Amino acid sequence: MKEKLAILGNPPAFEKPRSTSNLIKPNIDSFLNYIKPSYSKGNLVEDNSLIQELENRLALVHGSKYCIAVCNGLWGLVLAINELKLNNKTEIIMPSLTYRRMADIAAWLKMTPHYCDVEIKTLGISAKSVENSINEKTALILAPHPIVNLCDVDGLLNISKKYKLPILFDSVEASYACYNGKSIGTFGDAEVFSVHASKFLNGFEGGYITTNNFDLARKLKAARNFGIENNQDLITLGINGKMILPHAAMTMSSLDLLETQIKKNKLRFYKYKELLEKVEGIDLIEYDSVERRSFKNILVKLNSQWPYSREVTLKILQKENMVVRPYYFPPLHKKEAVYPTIIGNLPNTELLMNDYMLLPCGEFVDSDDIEIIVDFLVYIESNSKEIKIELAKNNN
Amino acid sequence: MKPNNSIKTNNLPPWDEFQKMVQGIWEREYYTNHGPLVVDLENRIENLLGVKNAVCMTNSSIALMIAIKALDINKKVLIPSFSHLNIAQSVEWAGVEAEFGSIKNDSFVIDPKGIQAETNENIELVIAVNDFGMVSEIDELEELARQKNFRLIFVSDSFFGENYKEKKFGHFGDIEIFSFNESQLINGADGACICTSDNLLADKLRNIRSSYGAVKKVPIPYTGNGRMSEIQAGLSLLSLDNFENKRNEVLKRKNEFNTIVEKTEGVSIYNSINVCCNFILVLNCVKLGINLKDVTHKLKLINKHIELFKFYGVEIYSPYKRKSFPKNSLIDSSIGLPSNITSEEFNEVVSILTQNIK
Repeated sequence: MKEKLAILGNPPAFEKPRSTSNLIKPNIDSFLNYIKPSYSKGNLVEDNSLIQELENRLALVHGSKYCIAVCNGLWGLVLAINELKLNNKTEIIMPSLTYRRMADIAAWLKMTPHYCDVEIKTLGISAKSVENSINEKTALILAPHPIVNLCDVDGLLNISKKYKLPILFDSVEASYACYNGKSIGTFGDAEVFSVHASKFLNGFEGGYITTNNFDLARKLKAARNFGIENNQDLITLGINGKMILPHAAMTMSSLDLLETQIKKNKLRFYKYKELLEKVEGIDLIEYDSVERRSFKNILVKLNSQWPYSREVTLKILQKENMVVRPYYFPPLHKKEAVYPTIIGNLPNTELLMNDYMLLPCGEFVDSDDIEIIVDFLVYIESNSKEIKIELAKNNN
Repeated sequence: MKPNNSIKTNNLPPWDEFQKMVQGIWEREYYTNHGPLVVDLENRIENLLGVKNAVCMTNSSIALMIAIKALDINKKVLIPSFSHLNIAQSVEWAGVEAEFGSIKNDSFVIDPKGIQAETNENIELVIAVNDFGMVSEIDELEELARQKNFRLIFVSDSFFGENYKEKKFGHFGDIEIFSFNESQLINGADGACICTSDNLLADKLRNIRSSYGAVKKVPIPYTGNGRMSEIQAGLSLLSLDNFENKRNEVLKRKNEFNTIVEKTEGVSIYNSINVCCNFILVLNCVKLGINLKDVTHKLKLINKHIELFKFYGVEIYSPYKRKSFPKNSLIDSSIGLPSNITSEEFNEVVSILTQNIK
């Protein structure tokens, strides 16, 4: 074993890192063909034709009436919340177990994140957890879908209706999913997506917002252009939040690969599923078998039989160039913030926050890699006693 | 795809150079998160301008928001009374209040004498804008900042590579921002770059931009996403490769434009013939017999980056209310043109402006 583990000074299992980022690689000619007409016009920012084509295509994928492409997901969330929040209210309800920058989004809006708990079954927020956090200051419910499967959409919509609160879904990790047979992208007041290279669609950088609300779409289109509508009227607070054309062309080329990607993702997922049967201490979080899913992420839970803490597991695997990541760690309520936050009752978050991790996936991971990864997991599980002794000797 | 050099690209690099750059990205499979091209671009800018730190960003509007947060400004910010809406909005997003400072009567730049009284103890930051060939009195502003203890940001969008009193732009104030929008000579399809000699400030900028590329972890108020992608960096690098040639071309064209307007009554170029930057055409609308409002649409159709100042200044919009409108001779009688405007486009502009002259 001394000869096997990189953490003990041996060569890593992989020469090049295998990460959890999707990094799909569109066809280069497809990208060049999409960008060429705008390039010929010498126009990579202001030419709206490709942006509109992309927005129409994405609206069709999601079944939404409108789509607004933006420079990235973070500013997409900021602009959408700014349009949707209730006036004179200050709190945004969001989970603590979520994207590490989510609370910073509230800070840009000079609002207060109010952390609510997640459900053990979905890892997402629910009607119950949100309802516990609603008060007279609540301005909006921000509902990020968890990394695998979805949060309780119907329950959340009911709560939003009951308390007359706007609800925005962060659907970055649910790009290709369906809820009760209906595409994600049409729920709540709006939904926000990212096309960062690590996400389902690779657009270099970028994001988009879907909605069925005409007035919201109109305002968001202005908001990404300094708040100006039709080059003359200032209708809202804006920034330069435009998606640039090379990013739109990249997203279009990624969309061309959508079906191929799903097939590859499924192959990876089912390979993991088949092989992880051999690892007693690790449970694979399965995708819904009935609804449409992207199968992009490989999320596992370290159960009570797994012999190492997650921290040690991550250390061992990362040394092997398996760039595994803890699931949203630390949760937001454990992070120090210079702005005010409200921490609700978070028993499930506390219970779950050290148990989950993401295994390598995406374009750089093939079937053979998965075999190497899982064989390695089997090895460290079955030799845990000796490994722990060696790690202790080496101060790990 | 086969190379196609017949494509007209304005200030973009030739298509085959672009294709080659894209090919490199495809080979490296590195698309964003402070990739090798962004690293290369930042190094190149640091060497070219002789600045300690160049931090590349998504665009100049987001760069300014992040710059204000990195300076940790909590009181008020003084901005020029006449400036692009983006300046006031970036201040607002950064969570602080903007006040409008005096500008000179014969240009759009902030007036150091005028803001003497306006920079009271509540003003923690002054944002000065150098654009359209108009340069602030930089030395005076820097001296005032020292005396009154406020921070200073220069938004020097179109002055990349130019000098002020034999010193390159990029060295002024606490922070200086350049736009790499397609209207500028460095075309990064809307990128931007922040320059600063303050290493701690640079670390803060890098931490707020994203953890990728943050050399050192330092305390910051909160993060944003100001990342520049590899394709933006690749485009900017190609512009840099050809920078001197492009600059000379622009200067040559500007001289040609000047010759044209010298023969045209009622039109002149504002004070920037020898500087490679966006520039202003000063118009005598009475002599020309035109109302700028009537030709706005036609001018915008020629080039989207032609600025009609009627829609430019933030003061025309609610809720941005200025104390008083300056007695400025330029605002209502000039238009802004991008540095890379072509000869054909320029001739079209002049022809529209002089349409009523017999």
